[in-house]
Amino acid sequence: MIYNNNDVIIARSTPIGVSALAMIRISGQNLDYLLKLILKSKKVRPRYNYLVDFMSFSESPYFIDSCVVVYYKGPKSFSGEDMIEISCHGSDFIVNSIINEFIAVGLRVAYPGEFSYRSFMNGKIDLLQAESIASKISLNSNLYGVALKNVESGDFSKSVSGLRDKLFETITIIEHELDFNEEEITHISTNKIISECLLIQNKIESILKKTHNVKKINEGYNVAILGYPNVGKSSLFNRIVGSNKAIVTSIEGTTRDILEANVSIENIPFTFYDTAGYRQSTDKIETMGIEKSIDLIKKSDVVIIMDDNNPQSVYKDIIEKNQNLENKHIIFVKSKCDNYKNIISKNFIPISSLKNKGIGSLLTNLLTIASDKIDKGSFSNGILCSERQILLFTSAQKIISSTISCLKAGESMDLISLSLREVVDVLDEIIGKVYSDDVLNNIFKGFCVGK
Amino acid sequence: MLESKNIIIVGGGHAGIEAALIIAKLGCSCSIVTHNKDSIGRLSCNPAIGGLAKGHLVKEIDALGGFMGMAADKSTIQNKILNKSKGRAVWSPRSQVDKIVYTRFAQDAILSNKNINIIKGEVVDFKINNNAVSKVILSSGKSLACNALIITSGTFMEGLIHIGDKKFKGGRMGEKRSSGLTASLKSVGFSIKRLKTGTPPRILSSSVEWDKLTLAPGEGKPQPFSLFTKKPYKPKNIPCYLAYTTKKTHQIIKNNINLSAMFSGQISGVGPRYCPSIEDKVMRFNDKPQHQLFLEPEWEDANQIYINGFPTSLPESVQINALRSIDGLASVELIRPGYAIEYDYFPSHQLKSTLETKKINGLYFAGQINGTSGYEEAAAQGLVAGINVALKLKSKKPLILKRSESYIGVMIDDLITKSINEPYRMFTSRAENRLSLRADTAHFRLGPISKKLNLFASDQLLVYEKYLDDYNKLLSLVNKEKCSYNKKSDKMSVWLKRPNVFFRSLSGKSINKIKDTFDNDILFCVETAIKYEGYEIREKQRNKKIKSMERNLIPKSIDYNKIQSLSNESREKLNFVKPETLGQASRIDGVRSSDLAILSIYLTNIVSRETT
Repeated sequence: MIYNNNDVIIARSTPIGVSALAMIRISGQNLDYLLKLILKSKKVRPRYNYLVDFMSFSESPYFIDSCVVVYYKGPKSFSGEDMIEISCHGSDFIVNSIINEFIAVGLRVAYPGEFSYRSFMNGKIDLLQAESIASKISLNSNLYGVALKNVESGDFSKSVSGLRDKLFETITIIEHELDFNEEEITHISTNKIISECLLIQNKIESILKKTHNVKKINEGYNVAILGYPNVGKSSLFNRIVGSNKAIVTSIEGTTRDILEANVSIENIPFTFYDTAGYRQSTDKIETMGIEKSIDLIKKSDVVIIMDDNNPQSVYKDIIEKNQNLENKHIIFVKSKCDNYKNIISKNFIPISSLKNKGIGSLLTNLLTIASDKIDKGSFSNGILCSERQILLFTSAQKIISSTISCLKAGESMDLISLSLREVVDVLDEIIGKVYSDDVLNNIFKGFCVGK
Repeated sequence: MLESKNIIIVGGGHAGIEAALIIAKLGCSCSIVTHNKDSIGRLSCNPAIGGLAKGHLVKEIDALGGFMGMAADKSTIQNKILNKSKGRAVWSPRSQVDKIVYTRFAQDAILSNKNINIIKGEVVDFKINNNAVSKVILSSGKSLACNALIITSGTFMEGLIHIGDKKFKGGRMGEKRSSGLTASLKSVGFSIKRLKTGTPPRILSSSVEWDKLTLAPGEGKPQPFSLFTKKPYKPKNIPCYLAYTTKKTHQIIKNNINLSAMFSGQISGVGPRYCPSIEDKVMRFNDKPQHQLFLEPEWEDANQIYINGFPTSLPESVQINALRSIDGLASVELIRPGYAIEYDYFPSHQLKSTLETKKINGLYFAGQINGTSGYEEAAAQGLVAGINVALKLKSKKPLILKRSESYIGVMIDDLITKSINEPYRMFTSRAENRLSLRADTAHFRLGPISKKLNLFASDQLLVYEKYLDDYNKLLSLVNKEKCSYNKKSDKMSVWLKRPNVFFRSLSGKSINKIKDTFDNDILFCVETAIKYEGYEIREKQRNKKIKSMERNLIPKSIDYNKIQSLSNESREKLNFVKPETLGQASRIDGVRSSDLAILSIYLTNIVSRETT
């Protein structure tokens, strides 16, 4: 580990680039002297906001920025040490000037993940929590946060420990049998062991599924809008996105490249794709655009088929010829229904982008599909595993399935015992009971500076 | 020059015999000091050698040029492979032996050996010169010069026998205990604790209604322990019998439980959980309607029967009543009641891996004195102590067996690193490398050591080399040649890897030739080696991973109070146990995983600070 715990470290915690505000964090064993530098003679209470004119520390001080300073006294802080958070205006120049002042008085710029590392070292967070913080940094949805919270709270650790303990109990029984005369004790049946293994297999399966679902929420749902030229795809796209991202004209084939936009609907992120209208074309560039649209279907979760006349017939024309649509959700939309009230149909959703009608029911429809897919429960029971954990769970799963086939083939218990121990090892590694320095290094290296 | 060196062995039990014989084999002379010449090589408890994990030890003793396997083969009256339903790594040979034949064979070997001298007497004290043993003092007052002293006193040191509320001094029923030596060892600073063990009653064969019991015969194809036992091996097959305790038996025991020495609080030593007394079984496993007992003849045509499964310290009258409530034992007569015995042992962290004491040069402990239980465990230690004494006097490098190469290595490592709270018995689960430490690999694992250290006699060496040669030949054939199984052809090793395929399931010319050329036990060894190959590799990889934690040493100077972020609970445990490695720390109950992580990082920090 490259970190040196005696240094006082500083880093910008908000992304580089222009923003309204930026935050700078400082962590170290005793920061009283820094408080004096920043706040002069003021008596500082922890967890109070202080608005100060941040002056340079040089002999002839000059004004740098107006800042809000908060002091956290260790161990009641994120890192477990004394911490200072300085919020300033979000210009790189200001942020760097402030940081440079501190470097001049002996602070060091933190390595990636070093704040979390100290937090971990000071017993504020455990390994799983550290990993979940790493994930949180790339957060896209509130729901994703709920799932992370489940990991952070330690409930997930407990449930994995439970699995591990259950398996260990089985191993203990097997070991007991191996070490005592067969005539003296009653045996655990192979079927019982198989059912124990299946139970664990199912549990891991469900963990992997849950984490996959949560990831899916985070990545968002891909929705492609398809139809003939000039049926109003770009209009709908703009309506949903809420800006005139796509150029809307009455000339066929205006949209040649696929446009995409991320929209969060009730906390679930969606990515909408506006595509080139489908038609036989001699224009090379346009043909390529159409091909791209067809390709897009592959990675879409939901396909909106749109027509101003009969969307179902378009479906037959475009899709059946080109794509296998198994596992894709299709929503049929009839566009340009400006006299919206008069149209009721089971077969399609009528909309009018112009009058902003029907868009709401289309979105509700999308949400229903998304929620069905991710099973509402996974919002609150959701689990978000790190890549490391997913890999380990997958390898545990592999060993378990091969153990089950060995058990069925009549492999002897001394060999089965080894396989089950291997599974326990992996579970131990997941909950952080056993790990090597590499694991620790990787986890903290995955962090960005300032965390 | 070596003749001028005096090696003294206290005790002529299983540990003492192995030590004496191997020392003699290595060209040194030694003396066994014993109370009674006739009790050399006596089996004081059950009339059997081997059993689960113990059978592995006997095989390893044989592979290191030891005696026990040959003696057991010579005196076998019934042979069995235990655990046959559970995988070959835990298959374990066990022989019922004729105690009289066994003891006679052992005594012949000792008495006929020119390098071994028997001294009747009792060692009560020893003198130290320059921190090394120099002299032993006998109870007669006589003193003997000595360069190395191996103490193998078994249960004799301050032995105290309990039967009900009766207690009397003794090393074994009917034999004098040894006292004095404990005190002198204590006076030089050894710590001492008490353990206890028990033995069941012996009954009169003619008082048993045998036709009411279940017959338990031996193996159809008996296997010798020793590679050096002459083939064909055809031991006797005298049956044992099964009997079962009844509700009435349990009631009698419960009614009299306060009379049991082990329950009345009269015994302070800790007994083995693994070999529980009958009163223990009845009280602890209340739900079991019956317990199985083995009635084993102590020798051929014996009038004396050993009741395996019934160790007890109840009063004699209760023992008789309890036994008489068992089908087939209604009018049973006791020859000798069961009893419990308490004895001194020296917590074995005071030893090095050579079994020499850390404190005094030339002083070795082997056997029950180190807190172990069982003939086989004792013999293995006697052998290792004996080899190391001889090597030391010859100024050669000591023999330290690794955990990864033998059960003996596992045992000694456990003894010197773990705290033993009850008599230590070998279990296969104690070995990290169980899948490769099979009984059938003992000679391949340890033979090379024996060859190098001259632990084999010249005729033994020839047998070993032929065995090794045959094995290697067959192994390479199996990896090359094809044969058929279910009318399909493939490489032999491919077929043999399958769970239920054996040489006997294969056919073809090449197979017939192999069956004609090689002995059955070579076929067995190769077959097993092929089957376990893949798993052995996995086992090794797993151990490597664990070892990387073991290698992470915790400096002795570590101050857990300085690592502020440790939880109080973990800090307390770490301070108490003082683990030597991170691996050890991870096995301590109650040390949190987050604390282990902190400790791990703390360690890397100190190490990197020290190296930069």
